[in-house]
Amino acid sequence: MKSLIIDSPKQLNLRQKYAHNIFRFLLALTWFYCLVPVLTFINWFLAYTFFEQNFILLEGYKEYQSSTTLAYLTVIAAMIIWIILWVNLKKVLDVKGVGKEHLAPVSIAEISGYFNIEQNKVAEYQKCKNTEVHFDQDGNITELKQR
Amino acid sequence: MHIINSTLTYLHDFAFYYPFFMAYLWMLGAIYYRVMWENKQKRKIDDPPMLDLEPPVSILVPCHNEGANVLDTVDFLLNQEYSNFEVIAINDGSTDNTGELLDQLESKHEHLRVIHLASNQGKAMALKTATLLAKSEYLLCVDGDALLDKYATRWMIRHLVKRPNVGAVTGNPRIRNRTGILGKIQVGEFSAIIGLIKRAQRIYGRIFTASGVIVAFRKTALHEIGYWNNDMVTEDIDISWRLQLNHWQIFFEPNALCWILMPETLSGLFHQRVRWAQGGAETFFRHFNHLFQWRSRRMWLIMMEYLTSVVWSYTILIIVAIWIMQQFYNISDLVSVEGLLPGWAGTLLIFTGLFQFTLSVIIDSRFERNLHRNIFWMIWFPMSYWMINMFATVVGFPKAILKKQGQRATWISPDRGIHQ
Repeated sequence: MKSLIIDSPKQLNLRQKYAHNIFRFLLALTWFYCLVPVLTFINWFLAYTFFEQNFILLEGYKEYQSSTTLAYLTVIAAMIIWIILWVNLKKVLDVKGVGKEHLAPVSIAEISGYFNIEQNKVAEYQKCKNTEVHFDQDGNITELKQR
Repeated sequence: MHIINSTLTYLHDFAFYYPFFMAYLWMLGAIYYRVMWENKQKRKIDDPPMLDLEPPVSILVPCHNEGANVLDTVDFLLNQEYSNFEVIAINDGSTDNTGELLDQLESKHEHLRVIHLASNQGKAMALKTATLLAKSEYLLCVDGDALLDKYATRWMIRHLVKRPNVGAVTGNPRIRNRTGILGKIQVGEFSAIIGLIKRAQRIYGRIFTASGVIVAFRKTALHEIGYWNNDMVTEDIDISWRLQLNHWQIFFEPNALCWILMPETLSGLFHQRVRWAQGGAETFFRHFNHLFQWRSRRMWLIMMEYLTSVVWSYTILIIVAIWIMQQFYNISDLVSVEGLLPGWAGTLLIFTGLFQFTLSVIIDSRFERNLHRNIFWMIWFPMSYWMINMFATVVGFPKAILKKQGQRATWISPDRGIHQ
């Protein structure tokens, strides 16, 4: 039996190996690019005096106090409220099993009627371990055979 | 001129805001689902709740040229921790040794039955034939190259037994092949996008797709809607929508794991995604008239999500086209778009993507302990997910419009990555 996770770089051909390494390099660059604002922010917190000067005295916080940021936060807060309301409303509306509880399981007669095959034959082939099925041009079953 | 430019500004904003807010919607929905449902169960994956009486289950495996995988697939199925099941493997006119392998297995295993379709009929017809010959009311469908976790049947069937209005339960597909870049990126995509989306969609109450690779059905529900359609390129999207339009519920069971193979070449991945996009569009057009009826109102959120994603794809196409034209011609008097390189907004999107992945690692770490090892690759997944889906929708949507009505869908042997 094969293992569940397949991660075997040895199976990569030369072209795939080059592509893999180029992407790895680009990825490292992108990581660095993305980490710059985070590192800046962390530095502000670590060097409190510097943070105080930049963020409070020189009003750096205004960068984050824009109407756009507030709009983002408002929309995300609205989503949270909507989810909570909707889920609870659904609990009231979707009473367990309503609408389908009266349905009896489909019978062999109904299913064989749908496929236009004799009921006895369907019952017989439901017990068969190895079956061969033939079709016409339109995809209708024409013959069932035991193998 | 002013109108054109202000319209472009709106389009530009929409191009950014749509993935940004969808990411937060999925994350919030998934957090709610995890806290309110998954955490309350307080059960490990190898400790599924027991049913008083385990009803018979037929596990259906449609196979077309699966000689390389079918032995493992069937082996995993026969090892299910479930007391009352049969496995039905359907050999759909394979031209390789699938048929012979299945016959050998069938003679050795009491629980295995084999159905040979004399000619290739496609997945939908293979499943219909097996449903006709299956003994059980509960069916579990698994692809011929997937490995089903041994507790999956028990996790899934309980929903069908306990709730008479549940027509289907979809499981949790996990990627097996992670050798190439695309394999690694898709690991994140399946966790951070698909896993979160399915949880969030359960919060809306409707699911876009019960993934065909691992899904359990109630036979009565299938009979009521007329089983699978033979002419849809993605039979799973179609059947999911039809069940829900007929007021059957579809549940998502994250504990039902199924290990799958995915494409690891760009062309393989693109073809697969175009097929999914085409399938979504075909389903939308097929049920267009029903969708706008008041009785289908529960599907409106899913429909809106789908339509917005289509509009977004074409918006990106327009913006990129204008941006490219700007590089070669002086059209700034007529139209202009801001640059495509990520500025503050782009950085925010990338961070949202990473945040989304971190959340998915926290949620999914109980299924895969070393999921965090992929975080180095994950920075690409928001971009690759949205970009691939954009191109796939742009190509797949017109294909669905132009497709001849009633044309039978056939098997497509997909790229299954590096797995031998």
